[in-house]
Parts: sequence; structure tokens; C-alpha cells
Amino acid sequence: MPSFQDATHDSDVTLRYGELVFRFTAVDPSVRFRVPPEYEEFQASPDEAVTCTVSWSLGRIEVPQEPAGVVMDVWENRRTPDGRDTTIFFRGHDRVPYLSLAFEPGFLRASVVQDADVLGYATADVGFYPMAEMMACRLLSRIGAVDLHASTATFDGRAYVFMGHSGAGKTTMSEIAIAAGAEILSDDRTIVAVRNGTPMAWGTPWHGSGRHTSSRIAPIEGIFLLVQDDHERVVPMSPQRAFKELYVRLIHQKVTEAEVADSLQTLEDLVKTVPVADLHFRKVPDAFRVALNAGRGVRNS
Amino acid sequence: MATEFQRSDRQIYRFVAGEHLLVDLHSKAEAPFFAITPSAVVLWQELASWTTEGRLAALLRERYGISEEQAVTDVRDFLEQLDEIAALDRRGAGQ
Repeated sequence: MPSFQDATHDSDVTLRYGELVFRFTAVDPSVRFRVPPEYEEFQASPDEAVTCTVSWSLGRIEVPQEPAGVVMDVWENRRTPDGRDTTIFFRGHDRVPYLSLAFEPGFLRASVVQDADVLGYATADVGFYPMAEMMACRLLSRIGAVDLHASTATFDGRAYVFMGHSGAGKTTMSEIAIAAGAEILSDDRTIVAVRNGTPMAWGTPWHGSGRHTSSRIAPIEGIFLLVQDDHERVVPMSPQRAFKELYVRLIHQKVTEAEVADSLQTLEDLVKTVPVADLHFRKVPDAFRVALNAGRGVRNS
Repeated sequence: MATEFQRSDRQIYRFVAGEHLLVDLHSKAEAPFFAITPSAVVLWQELASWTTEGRLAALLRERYGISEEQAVTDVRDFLEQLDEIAALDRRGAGQ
């Protein structure tokens, strides 16, 4: 019998990621939510204006007849003629569906169905990986924001974004930045957007091995591509290269052509407003100082 | 009937910081970008609907005043490049 022992909420849950607000509602009393510890800071007031209302139920996952438009290792997405956009998540080599996420046309409402028998538990975890982040990313593109594979440190109220694929040193740079007196918005994922001409960074609950998360926001001073090297230096990047380096570090925003187009537009706006550079670094305290000085140099020039 | 060509829906075109780019929507490659020239942009836009090599070459001649031979060569080169990145659909004879 699927258990609820991890459930922490028996009522609606509201979460805010950057400017997005999701309200999770139970379709019936059989659904009890769990908010993972790293998501607690992202809980928002029930009175907040909601971007998307997500109805959650337990039951069998019905895979639509239509062929999937996008097929990945652990999920596939299809858009049905009625305009619904459905992503089904699978587990195991035999790809057993255990979760489905269906957005209504307009993406103002969504429904989640969780197969408790396949999962072995009935707790509705609002932080389900990778669904939780994907849900946010699908909406971010629509509001001119993107989720970057990047850690972000704030110092003197300014954000320093360090992008890189896994193993590039994002968590390492976070630890170096903390030692230098910085705070971390995330050591793995950062939401970025340009608002009123200012590039902004938001922390996320999606963390790296350092488990650093924050719901805070800060204007971006500089974006740095981490390059492990034998000495510290900053090499400015052309806007063309910056655009490409940012694009390949987008998370989950390549499901539909419209989402890609929206995300590309956001990146174009970003490279016009914020300096992007290679940060060659060693794992030494000076590495973060080099980024700080580079950012300040740009600001003061 | 001559072979007709149309661009696929795998790529989208963007002009970014002075560079014309085709971006592959579904590529898992590290760099899903393909830089193209301004004249290739003209062809890419024409390829939004089914068209022939002859019509594409005529378009280049009209826009750039080049010889027919040069136009045909340029069109074939571009179509070949699009084939290489799976950006081209075709129908009709000799496809």
C-alpha cells in the first residue's frame, strides 16, 4: 500500500521561482503534498497572483495515442490536437510511466497524475525531479526568462553568474565565493532575465553537490564561463560566442519551437546588457576576486 | 516535375550580434549552430514553402546580379549543406 509518511502538507502548496508562482492543489483528499527542504524557502503566500494552477491526482498514466514530438531518456512530450501539451515521465529500462504533466492551452492550468503503485508511494512531491524544474522552465520562456546551468554568488548586492556544464567547477566556485564573503543563489541553476534594461538573477531550489539554494534576486554584474586553468584571468567573450555558450547551457527550454524562440530572444537581450567572459581559474580564493574585479572594471569603465 | 525543396522544422533562424544562425531545435550536439551568409538567408526564407533549385537560383541572380552558373552552384552548395544538418525536406522527381 503506497504510504504518505513523508507528506508534510495536506492542503494547497504555493511556490515561487523567480517571477513564476505555481499553486498546487489536490484533486481529492487522497493527495497529500510534500515540500522538500530545499523548496521550503520558495513557498509563497496563497494570496500571490498565480502564474499556473496545478491540479494533482493519483491514478494510472494514460499515454496519448499521438506520436511523441520529443523523446528523451526519461520523458517524452506530445501536443495533442486539442492544444494540450503533455509530458510523461518514465522509469526503468522498460520505460514504465509514473508521472504525467499536462498543460492546458495557454499554460495557465496544468494537471499532474501520479501513479502511486509504480512509484511505491502516494506522497505528491512538488519537487519531483525532473518534473518540477521542467514545469518552471516551460513557463519561464513565456515570460522572457531562462534557467541557466550556472551557479551564482552575490557580493555587495550584485550577482556574479558562473556557467558551466557538470564538472566545470560551479560548486567549487560557490565555495570559493562563500569563503570570500559572498552568498550563493544556487550552486547549479540560476534563473536570468532582463527587466527594464537590467539583467537580473534569481536563485532556485535546484542545487549542485554543495546544496546551496536561495530565493533571493540580484542584478547581474557579469556572467563567466568557468575554465579550469593554471592561473586566474578573465577573457571577454564576443556577443556571438556569448550567445552560443549561454544557449547550450539552457535547461529544458527546447521542447517547442516557440519556447526555443522565446529563450533565444531572452539570450539576445542578455548579451546586449551584461558582459560575458571566460574565467580561467584555479581552486584558490583569488579566483572569485578576479571575477569581482572584472565585474567592477566593466561597471566603472 | 523537378524536385522541390523545403526547409525542415528542426531549425530556426536567428540574427544574433551580426551573425546569421540556424539553431537546431533538437540537437544534442555541443554546438547546435550553423552560421550562414546573408545570401543563404535569402534562400532559407524562400525555402519556407516548397520551391525548386531553378527558382532559388533565379532569386539569387535577381538579388545579387550574379551569373546563372554561379547562382546554380551557390544554391546546390547551400542545399547540400542543409542536407548535412538534416534541415531539408524534398519531394518530386529525383529526390
